[in-house]
Amino acid sequence: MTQIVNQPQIARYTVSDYHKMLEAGIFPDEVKTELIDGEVYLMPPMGAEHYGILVRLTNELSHHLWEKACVVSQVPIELTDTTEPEPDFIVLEYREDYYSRRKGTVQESLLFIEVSKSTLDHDRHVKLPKYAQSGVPEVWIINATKEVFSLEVYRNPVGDEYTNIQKLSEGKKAALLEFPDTEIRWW
Amino acid sequence: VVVMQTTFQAEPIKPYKRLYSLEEFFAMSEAGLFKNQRVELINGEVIVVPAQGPKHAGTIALLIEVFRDSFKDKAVVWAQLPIVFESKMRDYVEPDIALLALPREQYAQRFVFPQDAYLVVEVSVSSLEDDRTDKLQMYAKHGIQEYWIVNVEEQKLEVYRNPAGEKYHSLQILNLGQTIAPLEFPQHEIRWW
Repeated sequence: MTQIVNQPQIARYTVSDYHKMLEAGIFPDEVKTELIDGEVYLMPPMGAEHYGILVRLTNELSHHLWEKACVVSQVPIELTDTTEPEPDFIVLEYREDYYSRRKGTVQESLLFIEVSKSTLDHDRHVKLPKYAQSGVPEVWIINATKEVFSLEVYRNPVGDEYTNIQKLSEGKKAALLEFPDTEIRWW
Repeated sequence: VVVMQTTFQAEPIKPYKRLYSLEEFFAMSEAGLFKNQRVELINGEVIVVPAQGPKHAGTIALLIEVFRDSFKDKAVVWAQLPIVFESKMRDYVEPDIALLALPREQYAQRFVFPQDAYLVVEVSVSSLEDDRTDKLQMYAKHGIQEYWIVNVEEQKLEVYRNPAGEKYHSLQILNLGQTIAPLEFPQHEIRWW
């Protein structure tokens, strides 16, 4: 951590600091943490509905994208020097070795998926801008709040925004930009 | 028969910024996070303290000498060293100067707490606003009896006394060359400049 300040300021941590904190056992009891813009966030524990959506999508994505892409769930990915989130899914370019020798990078990412119940605001306003800035080409937010159940598809990152946004309601399958003919049941 | 119906709906827990305890702050320091960086822990957040320019450092050096000469054998001069405030999240701050009760040896065994301090001094070059608001509220709240702000640019000394809540009831402003004695040592007037 090297932060040049001329007024007292809240410390911001690098990914390397964050890893040292994880190794030192600073976060012993918590389910999940993420580093966004140098600040560590605690993520709420996963509920039954979130779990169910993950299981369905894991199978759906793996089945339809078999040997076309690599799908990984709930692993951290380093976006910048100070941002390392853990999306619910990352769809990566296909590699025959299934990334067994090194981690996938942002450049190899085709799609991030977030399942949002209590995290909707955080996903839309804190994480999504970081995804756009890092050039993640496509993000799906499954809005599974009490009021709504829909899929928000974000494409075409420009600065810290996505300029192409679509909403799909339950029953309407979605396809990745990269594989327009492969329809995915997301609900 | 009155049947009372209650509905209970739990708020979903949202992501929130992680705050740190004093123990975690020390563990982070040990893990090498704060190398070459002055830090404090306030309300669970780690605060990075700016590097010190010559005006700030020079004034502190001068004050250390003045305080040592005036309070030799009466108090411990504690310069830019930690004081811990006991609250829900324990704070760890390093005031520019504090005058502490003797004996000095006890502070090698345990943390310094506000009740050990007769006086806390902040030297303000660029930090005046922060020293008058956030720092002042924190010192008052934790019962620091007397708080001085050395306003370097305007060459004034602000003397705050009688803490109540997050304020001090008494404020005295001294000009260059005037003398002042801390409440605890009324016979020991010092020239603050």
